[in-house]
Amino acid sequence: MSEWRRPLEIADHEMREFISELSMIEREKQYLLPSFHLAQEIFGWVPPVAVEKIADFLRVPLSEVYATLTAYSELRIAPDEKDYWFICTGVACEMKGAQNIVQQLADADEFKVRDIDCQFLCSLAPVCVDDSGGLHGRVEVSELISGIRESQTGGE
Amino acid sequence: MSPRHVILETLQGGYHGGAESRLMIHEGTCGTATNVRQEVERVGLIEVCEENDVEVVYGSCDGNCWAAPSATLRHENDASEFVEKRFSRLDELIRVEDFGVLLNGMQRGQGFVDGKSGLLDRLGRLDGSLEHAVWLGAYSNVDQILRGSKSDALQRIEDWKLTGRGGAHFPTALKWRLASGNEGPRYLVVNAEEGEPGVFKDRHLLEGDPHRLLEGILICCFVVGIEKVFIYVNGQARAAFNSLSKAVEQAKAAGLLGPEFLPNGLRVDIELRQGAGGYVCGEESVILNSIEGARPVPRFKPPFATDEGLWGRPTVINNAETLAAVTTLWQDEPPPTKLVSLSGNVARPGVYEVPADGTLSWAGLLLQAGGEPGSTPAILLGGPSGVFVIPERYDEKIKMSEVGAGGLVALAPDSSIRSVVQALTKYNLRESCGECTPCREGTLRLDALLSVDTVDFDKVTSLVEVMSEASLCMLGGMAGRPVLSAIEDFPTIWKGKA
Ligand SMILES: Cc1cc2nc3c(=O)[nH]c(=O)nc-3n(C[C@H](O)[C@H](O)[C@H](O)COP(=O)(O)O)c2cc1C
Ligand code: SF4
Ligand code: FES
Repeated sequence: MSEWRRPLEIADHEMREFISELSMIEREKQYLLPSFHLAQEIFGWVPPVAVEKIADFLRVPLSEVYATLTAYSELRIAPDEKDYWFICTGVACEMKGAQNIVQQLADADEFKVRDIDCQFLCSLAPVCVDDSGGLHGRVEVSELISGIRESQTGGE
Repeated sequence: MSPRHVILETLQGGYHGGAESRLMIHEGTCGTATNVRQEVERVGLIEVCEENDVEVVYGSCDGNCWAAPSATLRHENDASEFVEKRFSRLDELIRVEDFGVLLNGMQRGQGFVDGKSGLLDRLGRLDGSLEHAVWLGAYSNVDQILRGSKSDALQRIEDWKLTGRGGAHFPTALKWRLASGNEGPRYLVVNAEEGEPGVFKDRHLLEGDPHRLLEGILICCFVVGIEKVFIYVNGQARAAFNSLSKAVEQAKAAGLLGPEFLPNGLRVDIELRQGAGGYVCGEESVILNSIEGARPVPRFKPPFATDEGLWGRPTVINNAETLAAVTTLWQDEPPPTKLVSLSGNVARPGVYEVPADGTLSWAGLLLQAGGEPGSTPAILLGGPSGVFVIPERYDEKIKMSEVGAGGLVALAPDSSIRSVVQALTKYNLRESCGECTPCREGTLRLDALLSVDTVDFDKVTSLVEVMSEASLCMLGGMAGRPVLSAIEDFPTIWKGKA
């Protein structure tokens, strides 16, 4: 079972905030993507209740709203999984030993780490993204391991 | 004095708060990713600056990403001439006791001025205020252009042969002419999606000198007759988005977007939009759909955007760098340049300016960035839609027509070209939006054809031909380019274990 960063139920105060912010947006179809961004900013993902509110408010058929939502890779239709760090394996990072980093972390076998495509910080390769989305350049395996270890086991 | 002059002079006059000597800490994305704030603390920089009456300001990366975490000490006189010294990776600042001596020398005019010009001119030099940008020349061109005629401006852009910096290098003046020939209302869409792996120059421009883009936008609006602009910024480029939002607010508050500044009652409304990922989301017709709230997939062309773009209206869609580059064409000796994002196996990766007149060779660029042409097996040019530039070509001059968006990765001596090509193919497969069959199925088949021990060149070649002829957009259309390029230039690597 995956652990979820947030409970699937939506907190009342988040929903209230979402509805009040949404009501400030112009009721036109062109504001579909901005509305998704708003939901993701508040909830961390775009939950079904928010999708329905958006469809209603912008007067766009629900099926169309979902079709659009699911076409964007950065919009999340489920809550984020917890704690993952990401190692960029784009070409520039590969040239600076990304595979080696991925391998060493896999060997250590205690971390939640995944590969990720180019993060557009290629000039500071190799690059990683921490569990709160922060970018780090010119990462070194030892520092990375202690960083991840701290964040993934530090709370225990 | 015209109202326009009053606005610019007031802004210029407003910049006198700055100390003569400033330490610019290059924060931005590059600085943040290298913990520049902590490093500054660690070397005790703030105290030293206080002791020496040096003002500390935070600004953007200056394009020398390799130097991060870095800071530039700058002494500026009334004529806005300055001498400066960059501290790369802040190493040199560990010997802070020499700081006073150094500063003293700079105040007497010793030191060097970074040879930056053109597009990167103000990068990493601005304190974030509009006044400082104007002080360093922002909007001075637009002033000159607005005094002239639209056709003069177009002619200038045509004479300098400015082409689109988003990758396709379509002549900018022609695009503007086509749109202005159609009845209004017209739109301008600025493509700052920058989703091609290996490219990071638009982010640097937006973070470091957003007013240059806005100046280019005003020129376009004046020439084509446009009152509504959308800037479509990559959803993950938060720093770029924030810097640009702030700049738009500043320009609006100063009256630069209204009839006080623009001729013929022109009033420009600029709206920022954030993308949400995907390589194909940088394709122009996808952006149009995205702005309209439709599914982000490509449109059939024709009709072209200049005839039927946003909501069916004539639309100019330009890359952010293209519009920024427009502003450089009015300098005395305007050398139009192209920004390239250079990474991989070089000592100084970062944003470089390549002259558009073809006077710099591949080897020259590599050397400039501290690379070694002799031990660089190839340069990947254009990422997943790109080609390999091989050592036999390093002495050739870099031509505008071939640089695309300018994403260059110098490959490492021990790298496997075959795995690079496979990784790029898998990337295209993941990013294919699935809207058309040649690409949706083709990228899958191409990946399979490359995954066997001995690759069948004939099959690959005919598949790539179908994909490039029949795909709806150039993601599928160019997905086979790196493959064909590698087969041609490295024919021996495709036999034996994959
Ligand atoms: C798959 C794909 C991705 C693209 N990504 C971008 C991009 O991120 N930024 C950009 O400016 N142009 C991108 N383009 C090119 C645009 O479609 C378009 O040519 C460009 O924005 C036109 O502006 P320009 O003439 O000023 O270059 C992409 C094209 C394709 C096919
Ligand atoms: S070529 Fe690929 S990305 Fe472009 S429309 Fe077809 S499937 Fe989508
Ligand atoms: S390849 Fe890793 S950031 Fe671009």
